[in-house]
Amino acid sequence: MGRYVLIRLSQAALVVASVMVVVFVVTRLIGDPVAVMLPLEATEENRAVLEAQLGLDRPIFVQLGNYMADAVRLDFGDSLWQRRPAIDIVMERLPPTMVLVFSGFVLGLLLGAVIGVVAAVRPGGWTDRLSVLLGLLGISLPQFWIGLVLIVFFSVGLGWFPTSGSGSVSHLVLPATVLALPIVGRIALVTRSSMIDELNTPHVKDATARGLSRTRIVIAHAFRGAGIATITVAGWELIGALAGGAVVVETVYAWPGIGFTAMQAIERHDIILLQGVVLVIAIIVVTINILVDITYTILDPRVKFD
Amino acid sequence: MTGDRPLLEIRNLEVVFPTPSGTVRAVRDVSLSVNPGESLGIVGESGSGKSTIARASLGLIELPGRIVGGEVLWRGRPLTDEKTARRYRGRQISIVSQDPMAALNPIRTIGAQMTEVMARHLKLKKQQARKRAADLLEKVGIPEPGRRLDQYPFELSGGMQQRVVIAIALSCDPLMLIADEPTTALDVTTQAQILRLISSLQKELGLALMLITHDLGVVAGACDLLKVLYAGEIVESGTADALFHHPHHPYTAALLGATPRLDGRTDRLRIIKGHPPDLRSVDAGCSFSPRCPHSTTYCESEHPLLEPDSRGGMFACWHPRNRLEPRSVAQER
Amino acid sequence: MTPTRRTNHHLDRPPSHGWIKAVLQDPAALFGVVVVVVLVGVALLAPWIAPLDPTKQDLGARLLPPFYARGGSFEHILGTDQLGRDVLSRIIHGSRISLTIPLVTVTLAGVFGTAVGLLAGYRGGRTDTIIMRAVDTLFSFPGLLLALTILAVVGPGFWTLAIVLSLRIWMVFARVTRGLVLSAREAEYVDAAELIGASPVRIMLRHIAPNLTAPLSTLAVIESAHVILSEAALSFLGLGIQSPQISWGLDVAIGRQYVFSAPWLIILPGTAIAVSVLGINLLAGRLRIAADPQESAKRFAATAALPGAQSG
Repeated sequence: MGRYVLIRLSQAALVVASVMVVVFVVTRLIGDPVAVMLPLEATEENRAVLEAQLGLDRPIFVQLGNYMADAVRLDFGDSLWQRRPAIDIVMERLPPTMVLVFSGFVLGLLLGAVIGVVAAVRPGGWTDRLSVLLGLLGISLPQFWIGLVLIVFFSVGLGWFPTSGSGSVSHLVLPATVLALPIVGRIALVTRSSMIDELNTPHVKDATARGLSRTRIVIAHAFRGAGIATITVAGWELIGALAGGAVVVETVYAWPGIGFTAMQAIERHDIILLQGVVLVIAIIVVTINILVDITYTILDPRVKFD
Repeated sequence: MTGDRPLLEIRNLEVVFPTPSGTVRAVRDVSLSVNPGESLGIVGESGSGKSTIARASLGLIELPGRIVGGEVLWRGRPLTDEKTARRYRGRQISIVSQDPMAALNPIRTIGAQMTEVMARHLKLKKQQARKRAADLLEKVGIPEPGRRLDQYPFELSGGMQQRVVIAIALSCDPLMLIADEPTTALDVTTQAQILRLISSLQKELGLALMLITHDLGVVAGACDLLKVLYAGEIVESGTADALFHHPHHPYTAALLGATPRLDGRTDRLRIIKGHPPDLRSVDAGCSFSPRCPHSTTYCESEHPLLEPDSRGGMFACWHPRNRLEPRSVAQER
Repeated sequence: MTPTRRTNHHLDRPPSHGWIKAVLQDPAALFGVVVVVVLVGVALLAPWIAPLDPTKQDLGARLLPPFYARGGSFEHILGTDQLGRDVLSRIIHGSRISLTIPLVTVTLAGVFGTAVGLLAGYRGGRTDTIIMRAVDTLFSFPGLLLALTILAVVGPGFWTLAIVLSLRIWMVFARVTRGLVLSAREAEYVDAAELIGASPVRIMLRHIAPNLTAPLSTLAVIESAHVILSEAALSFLGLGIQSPQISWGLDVAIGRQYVFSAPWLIILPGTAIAVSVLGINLLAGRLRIAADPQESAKRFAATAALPGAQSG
């Protein structure tokens, strides 16, 4: 167990380090950060000052070394926009994102699992067809669009929920729903497929031959197996919601989270703040990956740590 | 309980499986009955429909399969009715299937899989069920039964797993046990042990037994009565003794030739040439005729029906072997 | 069987399931095919079928509602935007990006990813380990955020967008290809070909490639749907397609400022995205069944079990 965790942790560290290098290469080498940050009317002197401030006048490997050393301590430098440590801003904006992503993820997981199970119980029947259609709709509707459509109908039209912002549960309803949609879709489709496989295994057939009730077979036998098969996909969905969905949904609803912050940083050419967001998200993503692996080993007795 | 009334009665059963390339007639006009305490062996190659008969005896024909004719009765009640079947399945009729590794849920403990069946049929509380489960494990010869309850199937050997499956099958004091190739997935020494276990439990508990196998050697000591299945039809039936010593049907004779003897002599081992027929299009004549060494043009066009013989059994063949009075005489009369 | 034998039972066989026939019998797949055909057709013929120039401004005809809304007319069937541009014409022209971006992206990513997957799967051993470890590492990157960073730094544009979007998709192709190669290599005929000394390239082309075509084409279709969604999202966020080029996602972003007064500016271009992606996904679902014999057996079992679903 200890060895396993150690290996996973070193793999995770490798991922985070590679993300750092990639972000460094992208921001310092491919792009021209100074040109991006400076206003158009800036002079050569302004440019030299900013370069010195960012340490861009030093050799590239020294820059990378310094950057990595700072980033490990979560020190990304001061945000150009707010003139205070980028990490402070990121940490302030993280909790709202967590609330949003967690609500959307749990909602999506529950709804998706229920739809998937209902579909698999009678494959080919109308419930199955409807569930597959719902699942495909979930993964096909653009989130930013459905977010705006919900605003048109429920906020502008019916006035049930606020159009944007945060602070109450009613603020959370629409963004969490939109975030949940692709999760519902994918989890429903995957659960359906693994439930159908599971219901056709010999041990489920033998459980039927022992006279167990259909409900017990579906829940205690088939869903348990299918659930394990779904965990990996659920992990990807959580990561997708955090590193992708949240940016779009928070932007649509002006939800003051980390994704909205990333877009604000981009608008204000605040590369430092953007780096901070990307790296913190990368750390959370690898943590989720580890948690998924551990959950897997706990739920499936056949898998052992090694 | 009446001694002579059969427990299981199958009358003229017809089962089909539609497939994308045509409908397979898996079981054709099969009738059989099993009396209390009796042991019946069903012998046939894979694809002969023997597993379908086992499933049908539990009222379980998996989709897309369909029963298109005949009846399956459990003490006079139709098992084709799902509600009736569910009442007896696992309670009065139990099954031990081929691969114990596949029969047990890999991610649930042995205890959980045993107790849920007792909770369902005997309405036992958890502690009572666990106690009974441990007793059952001991009865089927599993050491340290208390510890096994919390183990997962993969932690046991194949033979031990099959013993667990047998214990589950016996857990609700059934009247009949169906063993569908119970030893095929096991190694040779374990096979013999499991067979002995099934036989001794059958006698000790007075169970009716339906033992299904491709191997005549398996049913040799275990069954009183035999039915030989070919291409979904019964081609010969009778007492084990009669079929072993005087097989009438050339297929039975060929199966006997193909049975490796326990003394290790393999000189009698003959492989039956050819393949079983395609059950999507069944021909008019005898199904075995393409592989039969005694086949004539008559065999190819006329379907032989089961008819009684002098030993108290039945056979379906135009040119039977080992007959005291040749059939040709009977036909000339 | 010997030809002399009569057959007295010729049981009902379902009709041979040709691909086209299967699609025609499945309304969902048919919808998918129609959507894809319409999308391609509209994109190719956009300049000829669009009623008006999509970039022509008419400040006298700003924010006109579509025909179904009050005050709408058939002059601008789907209304106009804040600059008086015809919404229908913009949607028709927007289809070009929704066709070209997935085409370019999936081709780039597909070729590269398949090559990497072939290399890893065929060479095996350390090459395989190193490549797949690298792919695993890259795969756990926070995809969209990294794409945003690159686009923000490098600057948006058609080719930047295509490359950024292919950065993740090639890995899917690499993984799938590797898996297919590994299972194809297990097949006896590949062993046999190796034994008789066929060259690796020959084995690859003659024996392994045929097993890849169907699943990889299906994958390309599925990934096209992803690309359309991602392009629309990035354009919506202002980091994808830039004006004066026309993209459905970009038009939704513009309409966002008129959510109270002109909701059709959001609803209509977004519907175009949703319908296209749904259509492609429905088609992909059918293709997956066609490409995977196990999947089609499952489906047959399911439909045959339904009363009346069996045709004679």
